[in-house]
Amino acid sequence: MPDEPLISIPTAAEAALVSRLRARDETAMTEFYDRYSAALYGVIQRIVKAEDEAEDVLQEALVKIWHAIESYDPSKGRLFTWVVNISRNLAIDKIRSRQHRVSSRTQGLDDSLAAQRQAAPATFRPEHVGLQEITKQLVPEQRQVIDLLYFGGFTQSEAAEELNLPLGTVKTRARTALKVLAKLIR
Amino acid sequence: MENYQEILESGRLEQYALGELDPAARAEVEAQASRYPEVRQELDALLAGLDVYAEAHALTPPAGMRERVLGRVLAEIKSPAALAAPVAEVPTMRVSASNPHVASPSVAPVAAPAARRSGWAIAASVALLLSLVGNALLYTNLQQTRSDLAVALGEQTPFANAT
Repeated sequence: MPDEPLISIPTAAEAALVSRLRARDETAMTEFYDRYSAALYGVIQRIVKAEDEAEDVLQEALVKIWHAIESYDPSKGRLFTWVVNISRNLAIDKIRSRQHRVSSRTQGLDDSLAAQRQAAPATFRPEHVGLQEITKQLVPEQRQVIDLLYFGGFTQSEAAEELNLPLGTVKTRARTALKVLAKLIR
Repeated sequence: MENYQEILESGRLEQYALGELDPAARAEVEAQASRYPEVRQELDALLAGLDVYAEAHALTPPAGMRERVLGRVLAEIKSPAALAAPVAEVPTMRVSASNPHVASPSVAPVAAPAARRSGWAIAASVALLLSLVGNALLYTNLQQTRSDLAVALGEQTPFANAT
């Protein structure tokens, strides 16, 4: 477990898991959960905040992944990207449907700024690329933008409005941040 | 803009990676990625970067969640009747997280399994009827999901186009 590589990196085991899901092998869902739940739950919880809602969204995401696995196309991207996006979209739908967008906006901002000043909680797996490492690479302004776009469900235009910044500045920060992140695993 | 440098600098790849684009714009980016290896490489790098960011936020679900979630997921995917049962939607009707004091959020999850158990009993006795009803419900849900998706995409389009 400690030497386990990043699960976002595709492996032969992942390909086998996809085959089993496509073959409608229900036991593969248990394996899927054990492999991906921490990554999916982390993203979901970060978006919806409340634990009971995060649990609901995690369940919805797993059911959706089961039903949509046929439409997953490995040539277009990794399984990890696909399943995280499904989870992320469901979580964003959840906060939008609750119409607590306004309150979660403010909450999200406070949260992301506070998070940048704190050490990673014990539940983050230190053997993986950790938040602390990412914090070292991204300046707070870049992280703030990425957090709004990725965990807040904001478009770049909405983020510009929220942060009172020119759209060009938001785009540049987002772009630079994504490039920095990409380099972490190159 | 059929020059890969222009595509790389357009900001569209970042929007794609962040999920800001509507299906038509996504398809366009995917077509560009299959035409230009440089675009494919850049897009893959951007997506990988966000994957790393997501994984850095990994959080082990609380104790007990594995059994609850897996139990409900397996129940839903095992049987078309269980999948179609309206009780499966109950947990989403809980009180808003922004108003946690209004009602007890534990009501729905407690009620759901009980309702589902009686659903199983009914399913056993009138399986054929339920499967017909189930198919109709499934179809309705699918249509609803599609129209929700269309609405959601419609809402995103102006932002995607404005940039």
